[in-house]
Amino acid sequence: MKAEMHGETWRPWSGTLDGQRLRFGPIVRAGLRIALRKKLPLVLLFLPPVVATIIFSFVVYTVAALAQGMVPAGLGAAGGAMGQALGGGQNSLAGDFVQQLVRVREMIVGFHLSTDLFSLLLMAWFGAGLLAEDRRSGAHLLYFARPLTRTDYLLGKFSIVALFGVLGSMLPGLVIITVAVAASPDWSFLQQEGSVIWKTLLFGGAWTIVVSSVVLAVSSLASRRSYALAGVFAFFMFSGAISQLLARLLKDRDWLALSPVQCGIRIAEALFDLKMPVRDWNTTIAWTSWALMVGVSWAIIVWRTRRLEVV
Amino acid sequence: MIPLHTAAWVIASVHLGTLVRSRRAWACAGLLLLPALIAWIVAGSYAKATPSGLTTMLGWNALLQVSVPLVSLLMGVAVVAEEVDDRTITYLFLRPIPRTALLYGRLVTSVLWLAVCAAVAVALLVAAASTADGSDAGITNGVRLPLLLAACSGVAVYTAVFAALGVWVKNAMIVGLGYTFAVEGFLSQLPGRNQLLTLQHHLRSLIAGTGDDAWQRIDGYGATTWEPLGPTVLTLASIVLVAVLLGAWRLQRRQYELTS
Amino acid sequence: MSEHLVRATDVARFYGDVVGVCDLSVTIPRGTVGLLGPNGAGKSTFLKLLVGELKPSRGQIEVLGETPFSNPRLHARLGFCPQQDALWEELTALEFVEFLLRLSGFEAATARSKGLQALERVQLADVAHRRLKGFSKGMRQRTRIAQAIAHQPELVVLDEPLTGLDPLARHATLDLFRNLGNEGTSVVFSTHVLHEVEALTKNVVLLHRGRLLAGGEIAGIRTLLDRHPRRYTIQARDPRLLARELVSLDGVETVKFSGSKDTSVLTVETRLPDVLLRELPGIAARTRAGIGSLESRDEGLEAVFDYLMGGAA
Repeated sequence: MKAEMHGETWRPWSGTLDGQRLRFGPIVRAGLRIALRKKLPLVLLFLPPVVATIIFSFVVYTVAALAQGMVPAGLGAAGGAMGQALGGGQNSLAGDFVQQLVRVREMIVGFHLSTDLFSLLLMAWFGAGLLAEDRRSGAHLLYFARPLTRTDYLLGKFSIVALFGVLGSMLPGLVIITVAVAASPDWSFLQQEGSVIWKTLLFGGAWTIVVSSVVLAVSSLASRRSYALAGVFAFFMFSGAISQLLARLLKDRDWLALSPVQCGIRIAEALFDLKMPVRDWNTTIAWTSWALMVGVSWAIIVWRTRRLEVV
Repeated sequence: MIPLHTAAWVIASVHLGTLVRSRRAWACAGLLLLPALIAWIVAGSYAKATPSGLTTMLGWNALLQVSVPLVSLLMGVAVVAEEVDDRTITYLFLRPIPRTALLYGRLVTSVLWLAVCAAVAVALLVAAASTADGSDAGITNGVRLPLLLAACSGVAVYTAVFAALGVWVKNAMIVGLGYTFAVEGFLSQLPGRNQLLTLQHHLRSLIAGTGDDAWQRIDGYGATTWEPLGPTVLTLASIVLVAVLLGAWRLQRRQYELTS
Repeated sequence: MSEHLVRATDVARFYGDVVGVCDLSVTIPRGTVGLLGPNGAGKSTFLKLLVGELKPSRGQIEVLGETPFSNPRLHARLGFCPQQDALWEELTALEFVEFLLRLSGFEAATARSKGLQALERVQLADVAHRRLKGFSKGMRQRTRIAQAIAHQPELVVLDEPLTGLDPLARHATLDLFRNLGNEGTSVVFSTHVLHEVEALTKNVVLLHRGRLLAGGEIAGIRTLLDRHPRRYTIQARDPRLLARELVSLDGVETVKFSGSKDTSVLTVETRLPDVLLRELPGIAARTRAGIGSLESRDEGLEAVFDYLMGGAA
């Protein structure tokens, strides 16, 4: 066979490669695509918070509408008459209105705390296998055959879990707040209790970061998804039981900081100005505990994935 | 064909060797020892902690209620499911042995390991609680022996149930978690005799039937109607038997479609 | 003793909507048989049905006269090397084979010696005490073969046994199968490597899309393929002169010149190869075309495979 060369069709590359900043984007997209394939877990895990959000929206709407009924301004004579008939002068009616809005805020916070448990389930279910199964199936070898760094890989995995956390914890709360704002007269909820929006974002974001970090840490330690899932639940169950036991035995509620769930409740109460003296313990310790959990989790993740690019 | 007991014995002996080298087994041991660690911390930090108070409280709330079901779940589900996940079940099913030998052999080893760890955990819990400075009647046999009995029985019953679950159900871990921490928790809160439907109630009845007055300080202990000892033992034994038989029946007929 | 090794009657196996095998009726005699087919043909499914790992969705299958599913008595006479690369990583090679031998009914000491023998046969005796975790792909494959043959079964079934083996190991493994056959053990194995099947056995079963395409001796299958004429490649000094004579022969369907203008290669397709072969020497002498070589690759398994796949596609 005669040797031939086709030098005329070759020319050296003279352009520049675009530096892709979000290299972990494809990892997130692929992870979501896989997660969304199984319909039954999606239905079972998303249905309760969705139903709860809808029902709670009606409740908030009703309460906000009641608050609207108490304020004479803007409703004309009938409203004013009704307001007067309820007794008291203008000031007490305004006071009742403020109280109703405070009630709405407290209800939103209470709803938020309960949806956080569902968000925990979501993050555990969809996140437990992310690192464990990659290692088990050898998929990390495929990942790192691409121009990906370990940071890109971990950011991608973290984003997948965090997205479900946001959908489970932040989104329902924001929906309820939107309903409360829309239902309140002249968007008074926004003026009166507008801080609840950024507080919801802050709390939801912090909770998502804590739980996502713990889930990924456990996943990096486990050899398969089912063990990782059991490990996540074991961590939350154990920490909850032990923290309450120690708090009771040692008569010191600061021990509740061992449990991320208890820390969440304490932080929510402090952040949203809820007055619950039974649970009154040091908020700084709660924040510190959360920060430590995130720190330790990421230390574990980094340690467990230190050889992924090489092996 | 190899007799069932011989095949089960061979499988059990090899499985024990691999089990003691596995991380999962030692993680389970660690989880069982956690209440002892807590007892040691509390005994050293809180002057008013009493030995029997610590033992009963941690034994009842932490060891029996959290550690025992959790470790049994981790080990029980893996009895058959681990071989399926690792795709090594092919080798075992294509030997001239009854299929059920796999279940019996691995179940016995798992229960043995957990029972030993539970016994050590109880011993260490008692030892750690003994260092508490508070004064009471001390840790009597009416405290340590019932706790030992309940813990060892607990791992046996829970492991058998979860092993059977692992044969029947694909996502046995999830179902087991749901049962242990949601269903049992929910049923135990309901009034009336709904608690009879939970394994926890029967395990606690073992303590109530054999323990002394030291257990009275547990919240809700006095207000609960406990089952007599004899029927409790019979119930627990029946649960183990039924679980194992159901698992064996299913295993005989089940086909596993393993991917390459 | 059963006359046939395997008898499958209208066997079908489905995985939900996916067809594993369908309407498969085949009788496999004792001896060495190769199971061939492209990816997804149903080879692994058929082998799993054969050894009793799966039950047929429809139809019946008998191996050595017995139904294989959940049949421990039959499993004593079978050895199976699965395709999946699954081992108990914490065991050594010897412990692995020994464990399975003990489950085959051998005492500990006997199991150990037989285990060593089996590992020797697959050239793993020197690493018998090394953990499987540290084995290469080829070593793991050979370990799986060792456990399949260690208890000296009547029938050894191997799913892609040559995968992952280097050329030397492949050669040694083929020798092993040959020796097993000589010892009276029947071997059924699946593979993609056609020339290795040809080196080992004349009996094949061809599957495609879950159905049986052909079964039996390779040459016999070839004969049955009347619609495909036999192809001969002739190298000659003057191929055109030769072609003019060959075209008029009975049975000759096509005569082709392959390659460039300078080529001296002629390809003839004929339905009557006997006529061609009888007349060719006379034609060569008469025309003085100067025949250099005469070749037919058509009798081989690859040709049969190509024809059947092409026809079934």
